[in-house]
Amino acid sequence: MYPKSFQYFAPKSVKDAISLLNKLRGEAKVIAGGQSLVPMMKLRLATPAYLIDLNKIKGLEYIKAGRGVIQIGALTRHSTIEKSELIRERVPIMAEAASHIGDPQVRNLGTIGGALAHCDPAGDWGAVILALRGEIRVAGPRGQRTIKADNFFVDAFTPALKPNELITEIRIPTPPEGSGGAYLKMERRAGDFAIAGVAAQITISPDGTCKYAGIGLTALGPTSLRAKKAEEALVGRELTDEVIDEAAEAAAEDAKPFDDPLRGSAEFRRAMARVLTRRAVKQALSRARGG
Amino acid sequence: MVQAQRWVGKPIPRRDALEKAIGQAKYASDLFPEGLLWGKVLRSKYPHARIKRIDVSKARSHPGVVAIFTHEDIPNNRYGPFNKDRPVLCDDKTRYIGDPIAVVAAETPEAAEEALGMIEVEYEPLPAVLDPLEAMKPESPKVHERGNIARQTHISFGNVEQAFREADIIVENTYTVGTQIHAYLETEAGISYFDENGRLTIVAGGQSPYRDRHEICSTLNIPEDSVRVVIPHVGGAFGGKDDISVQIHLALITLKTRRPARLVWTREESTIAGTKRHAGIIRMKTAARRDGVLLANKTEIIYDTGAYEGLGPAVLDVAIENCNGPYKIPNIDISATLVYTNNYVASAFRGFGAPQVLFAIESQLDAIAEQLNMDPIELRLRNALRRGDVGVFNNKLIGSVGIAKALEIAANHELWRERERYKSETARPWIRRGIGVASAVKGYTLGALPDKGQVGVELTREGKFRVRVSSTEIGQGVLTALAQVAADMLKCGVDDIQLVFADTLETPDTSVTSASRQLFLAGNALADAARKMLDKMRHVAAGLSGEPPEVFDFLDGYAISRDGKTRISYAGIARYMENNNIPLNVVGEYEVPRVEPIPGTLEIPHLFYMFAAALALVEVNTLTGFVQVRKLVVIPDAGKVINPQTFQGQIEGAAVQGIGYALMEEAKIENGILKTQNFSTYLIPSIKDAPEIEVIPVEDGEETGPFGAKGIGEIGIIPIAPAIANAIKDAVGVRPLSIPITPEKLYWLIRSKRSENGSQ
Ligand SMILES: Cc1cc2nc3c(=O)[nH]c(=O)nc-3n(C[C@H](O)[C@H](O)[C@H](O)COP(=O)(O)OP(=O)(O)OC[C@H]3O[C@@H](n4cnc5c(N)ncnc54)[C@H](O)[C@@H]3O)c2cc1C
Repeated sequence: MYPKSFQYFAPKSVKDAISLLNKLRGEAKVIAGGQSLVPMMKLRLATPAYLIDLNKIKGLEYIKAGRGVIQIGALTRHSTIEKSELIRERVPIMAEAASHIGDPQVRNLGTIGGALAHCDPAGDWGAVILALRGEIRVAGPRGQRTIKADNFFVDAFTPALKPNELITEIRIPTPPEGSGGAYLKMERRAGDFAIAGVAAQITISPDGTCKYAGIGLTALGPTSLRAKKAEEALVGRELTDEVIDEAAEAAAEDAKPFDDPLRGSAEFRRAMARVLTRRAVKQALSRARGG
Repeated sequence: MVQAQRWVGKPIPRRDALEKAIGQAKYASDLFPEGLLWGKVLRSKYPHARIKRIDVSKARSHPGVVAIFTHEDIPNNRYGPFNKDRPVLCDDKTRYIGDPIAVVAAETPEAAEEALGMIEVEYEPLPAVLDPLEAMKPESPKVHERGNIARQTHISFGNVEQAFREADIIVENTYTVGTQIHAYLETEAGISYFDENGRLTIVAGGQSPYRDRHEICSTLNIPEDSVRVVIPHVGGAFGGKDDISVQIHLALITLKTRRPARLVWTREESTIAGTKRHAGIIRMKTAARRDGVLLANKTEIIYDTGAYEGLGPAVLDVAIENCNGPYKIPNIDISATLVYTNNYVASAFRGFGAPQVLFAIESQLDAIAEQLNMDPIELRLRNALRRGDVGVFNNKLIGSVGIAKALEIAANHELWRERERYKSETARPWIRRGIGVASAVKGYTLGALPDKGQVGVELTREGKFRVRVSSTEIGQGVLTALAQVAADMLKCGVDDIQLVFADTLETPDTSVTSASRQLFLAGNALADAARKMLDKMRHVAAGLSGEPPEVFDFLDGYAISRDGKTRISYAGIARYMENNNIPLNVVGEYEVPRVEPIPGTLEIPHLFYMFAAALALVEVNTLTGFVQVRKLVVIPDAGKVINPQTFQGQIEGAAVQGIGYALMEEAKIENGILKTQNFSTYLIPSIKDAPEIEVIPVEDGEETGPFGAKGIGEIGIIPIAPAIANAIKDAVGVRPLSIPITPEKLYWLIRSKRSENGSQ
């Protein structure tokens, strides 16, 4: 189908974009990579009267190392993250996750800010940002604020954003020495959304116990989820096969999957949460140990 | 005539390859005639509803709208190849979501789209019939007045019950197969206009210009010679363009508005309103002796044809004909039913009813081999049909039968001989490997139905040939293959053959491009035309040189006398003919030999069959149920390969489509609503799902075919799903009875076996 007709704006600054959003409240949508919004418009699931294009705003597309954090501009494309040396060195789980998103065309246009704002429970970024305890920087008419990943995913397609707010940056605490991560995604076919996905990020202390564990779940609930019980099962312990099995079991309990005619029953996906968590944690562990 | 082959058998590149690769080839969807109107179709919102009122007045006065048509504009509002059960535009009822109700013609696509929303249709929803088993019950709501059983037949040879009593082993299973969507790159598309001679012209994707013209003219009640149908390059068909799509709607717009029009289905329209492969239920009970000899097979086939029959009756025949596989079985019993439901429309799809039943019988054979502890290829070979044998319908197999040879190649292939080694090479303990085999069979040609085609050949003044066929280029490469055949028959270079194709004004009727037989049919008609043409040219050469005609032979564009002293170029012959008003064109004809249909059927048996064997190596993840096909070996009985490059392409493409059918493709229909309307939900394999595919042709030659060629268009898909299913059984010990074999289905199968075995 054709989208409904709309009026188009291409502001040059975040400030202009926000004042437009504020003025056209409710009837406007910002467009970043368009990889979620345009399909929705074609299906007429979204019928904005105004489109505000973020692509003409300079300075929203970057990846840099700050003090103890990696900062990623909201307009940074999936493919840029996938290929970034800095990301591969400091938070390789993000490069791995990016490589699983859609196909090259989608990755070349789609942005991390747009993906998080879209808040699709089957989107891959949510689980990763949760596992890394990231933060989302947001700009609005009254300035900037920071939202913790834990508080960002309110419901399916419902982020903790006001209609006149923009995501400007994603911040990831730089994982310390002895860290490793893995993002595993089970898909019906390469390029499809996940049947289930698990992000596991861990840090091992010099004494061999687990100092930090972050487990995020994709497509296993109404939003991207943090598997807290699974994390608790790992932290402070030595990660033996038995302990990892326990965490995998806990992740399956943390999951809140639902039946999907295309991507599988709730029961199947819960079982997959177990399988994927076990494997993701093992892989993260071996990477943390320098494997 | 000894036929030297200079072009046949060579991997010459497709003549359309370059123009397609650089985007120059024009498909119907690339055409925008000047001053066109944009066509759009309003489609039913309900799977089953009575239409109480259609009010187009508001839509008609919408700015930009030029005309709106409903059933009232169609003189004969029913069409269909077998049974005229399908309306051009719905009148009394709608029978599936997507059934066309009105056609809008507007100055812009936006206006057309908006007008759709302004047409008021008052529906009275009726209970929808969605399960074919329910539909068969007499008390079920009726999709059509005549009831939901579109066709039912029973065929029996020998005595199965007695054979079951005497058998050493019996295997009985119920198989279910899902609905597959053609998913071509180019959706159904076309344009229409009046040409300079006032002839109504339709240029649209299709598989048969003459049949499309017939459907247009019979529904709109206009004379056939007032209409021209052209089928340009088609971006994929696979049987899906064997039925009418945009053609009648386009003709209607242009006929009534006197303006050119364009109608291109969206992807969603294509998945909704395009035809599909029949979903089905197949119950099979198969008996064998201890030594592996098959004794009996009893089959019950139920195919869901959806809202309309389309080519369903013939599809059912092909299912009946092939449900016993390529085997000698003395006692067979087949009950077959074609059922109407409100589940969209099923019709032709590569394999035409055979892939479903071959999945069943080839799984049965595997189960028998397992019970008998016998090598599955050995079992198949023991029962395989051979040339001259009498088939299950008491039909003598006079054509070439290459299945035994194909199976022998499979048995000697490294993948089979060293299968234990291949299976042991798995990277992780929870990944299991398995290797499976399957055979395939399907008739080519239209079987016992009359099947005839014509080809025109014209000598140009430059001494080249123009070959006219109504064959359609649906991506299969038939034009290149025909050019090769023509060059060898007419003794000239392949570039000296110009092909004019698929145009009711410019080409004679070479019949529909389907049933894997266009090369066979057109090639044979071409042989007749070539004979006539060379004969004419021989006489001209004689007249020019004063030597007797019989001394002339032809080579590389020259008529050459036996002693080699006289050489006359084709151009010289052409000039002479033109100057002396000798017609430069001939028409060749071929009628496919056939037998009487057996009672209870329409078009079987065939006289000519294609065969294939396939091996599949799969990896199954026992923790997730995921299957990855690692390697396929496909061994088609090709007769003779005309062009190795297009041959390989056809077989590989069919194999990948077979992987989709086996593992991922399924039109999900819930309450009459298609949940898989585009490629993000309906998954077809991508390059990442395509494994290494080895293609090994059997080339035993089929004397009746051009240069010994048989059909190969469909056979490649048929053995794939059962070979994969058998490989999965080999890997994890559970037999999938339902395709597609999705991870979830296999996961639960593996789990249920584990709990049976008491572990985990
Ligand atoms: C074929 C296909 C396959 C895909 N497969 C996957 C997959 O496997 N995994 C996956 O995770 N995703 C997948 N996607 C989605 C893809 O990742 C999108 O890029 C992403 O979801 C949206 O990013 P975008 O920049 O394109 O946002 P847009 O489509 O431009 O916008 C999406 C939404 O976010 C809002 N928005 C955009 N930017 C901002 C901002 N800075 N601040 C506030 N709101 C904003 C928009 O208003 C809109 O509501 C797929 C998409 C396609 C088309």
